[in-house]
Order: sequence, then C-alpha cells, then structure tokens
Amino acid sequence: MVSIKDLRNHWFSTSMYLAFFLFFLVAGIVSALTYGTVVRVQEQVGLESASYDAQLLDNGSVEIAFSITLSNPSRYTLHLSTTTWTVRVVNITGEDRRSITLATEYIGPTIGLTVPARSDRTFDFATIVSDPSLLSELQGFINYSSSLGHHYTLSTIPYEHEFAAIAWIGEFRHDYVREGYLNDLVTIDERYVSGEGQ
Amino acid sequence: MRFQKEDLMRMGFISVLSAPPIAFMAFDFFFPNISTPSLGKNMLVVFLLSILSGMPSGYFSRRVDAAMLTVILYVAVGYSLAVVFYSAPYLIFNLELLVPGFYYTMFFRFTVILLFLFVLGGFMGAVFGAMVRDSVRREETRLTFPEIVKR
Repeated sequence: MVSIKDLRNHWFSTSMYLAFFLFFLVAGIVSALTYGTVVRVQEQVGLESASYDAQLLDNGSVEIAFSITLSNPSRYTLHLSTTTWTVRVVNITGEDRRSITLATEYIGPTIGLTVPARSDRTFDFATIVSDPSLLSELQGFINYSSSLGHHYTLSTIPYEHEFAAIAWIGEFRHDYVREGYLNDLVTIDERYVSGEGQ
Repeated sequence: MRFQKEDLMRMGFISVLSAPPIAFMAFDFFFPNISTPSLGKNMLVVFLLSILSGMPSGYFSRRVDAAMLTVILYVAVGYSLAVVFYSAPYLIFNLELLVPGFYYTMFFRFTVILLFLFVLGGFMGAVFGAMVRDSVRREETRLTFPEIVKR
C-alpha cells in the first residue's frame, strides 16, 4: 500500500483525492439504486380489479360501464400521459368489419392526471349506445349468434373492453428525441383487454 | 525495469480510488435521466473529469510507466464497476434479465467511445499530476533549504 508517511506528507492532496473518490462512489451507488428501483416500478405497477357491466334501458338503449384500478405501490408518482378505453363487439364472421366499436374514450396528455406514490387510482367509464345503426348491428350479431346456438341479449353480449394507460415515472426526463430507450425506461405502458388470459 | 512491490501496491491503491469517477461517468452517459448528479452527456465535462481522475496517478507515482499503466488499470476497474452498476436491477433486486447478450452489448456500444476519452484524459492528467508533484517538491526544497536555493 502507499505508505502512511507518503499520505501524511501530502495530506491536502490525499484529502482532496479521498473526497473525489467518495463523491463519485456515492453518486454511482445512488444512481445504480435509482436505476434498480425504476426498473422494479415497471413490474410493480399494474392494472387490477377490472369490472364491466351492460344494462338494457327502458328506451331500448344499452348502458355499458367499465371500471379498472391502476395500482402504484412504488415510491414515485406516476404522471399519466394518456388513457384510452374502447368497448367493442368482436364479430369475426363479418366480411367488412371484424368488430363493432361502440365507444372510445381518450384522455389526452394535457389533463395532468397523477397516481401518487403508494396509492391506487380507479378509472370509471360509461357509455349509452342509442345510435339505431349500432343497435341494429348488435341485433344482427345477436340473431346470427342465435343461429349458431349462442343465445345473447343486448345486456349479455360478450363486449370486449380494452383499456390502456401510459404514464411517466416521477420527475425523470422523458423527452429524448434520439435516445428512445431513456424514454422507455421511465415509461409505464399498461394494457388490459377483457377476456385475455382467462 | 521491473516494478517493485511498493510500485504495484501504489498502482493498486490508485486503481481502486480512481475507478469510481470512471464508473459513474460511464453509467451516467448511458442513463443521464436517472443518475444523480447528471453530467447530461457533456463530453467536455467528461474529458475534464477524466483529466482530473488521471492526476493522482501522476502525482503519487514515481515512475512514468507506472503512472501510464495505472491509468489503464483504473479505467478497466472503473468500467467494470460501471457494468456492476448497470446490472444493479438484476444483482440487487433479483429481477430477471431476458436477453443478457443484447443488454450488455448495448451498454458497450453506447459507452465504448468514452474508454478512449478516459484513457486519453487519464494520460494527460497523469502528466499534469507529475508536474504538480514536481512543483510541490521544488517549493518544499526551497522552503527547507532557503540558503542553498538562494545561492
């Protein structure tokens, strides 16, 4: 090892050197731990408790409701960029249209929704389908399904709900143009489609 | 000329103490948005810090070849430490790394140019460090033997 006498003779240089070493060692460890935590947030955040319902109203319209919770157990606030909800009926027998889209709800980046650290946020959506052309398409689907042995009503059709949420983690910079991986690192992209994985 | 044990110990000591700045700069260059404090991919600052990191090897080493070799050593140790920092989510938090080959190749591709900067800056720093050491010694001699220096 460098002799103690050497270090004592150069006490000022040695102290500066040790301070330089310690500063970067601590900065490196803190940054590495931040990296680990951010990567873990990607696994911790998730969509849960999805529920949906459809009810036939007195005037013949259908009310479709959907609810889902974005869970954020991490220590960072999530800044929601966009959320989208789409409800449709998948009709694979149709030649022109493979699905009948009934409603789409889009919340854009200017809204400024957040999910605070260690908390959940529940999203509730509802729509009333009253357009005669849509209702007639749904009726056509019911009739066709009936001919195949599946008996549905407007309230029991297997509506497909798709929900997506994109959020930024904490206050980390996420507006890089060339280095897309830096944006991806601090982005949460959660998707849910009813029926998938069941 | 062979290195003596004391030279090797000195090289090892400096390699360990000069490695963290190299590790931090390499890591920060890859993740400027999450590192604290961030140099923001400023190559001039990286180069200046490389020179600063190289100064102790020139200052504390008695031989020029030992100082140069120490620079290469601490850059290697520092870069290895940067790879350890880069592996933190998988080493500390036990997350699963899906494609390790691609993961580490990406880090190497993004930071390989820095290795040249670190070594070049380190060499320059070693020269400055040696100059500072000589200057300090001259000053010490002048203060210790004022009569001799005056003559």
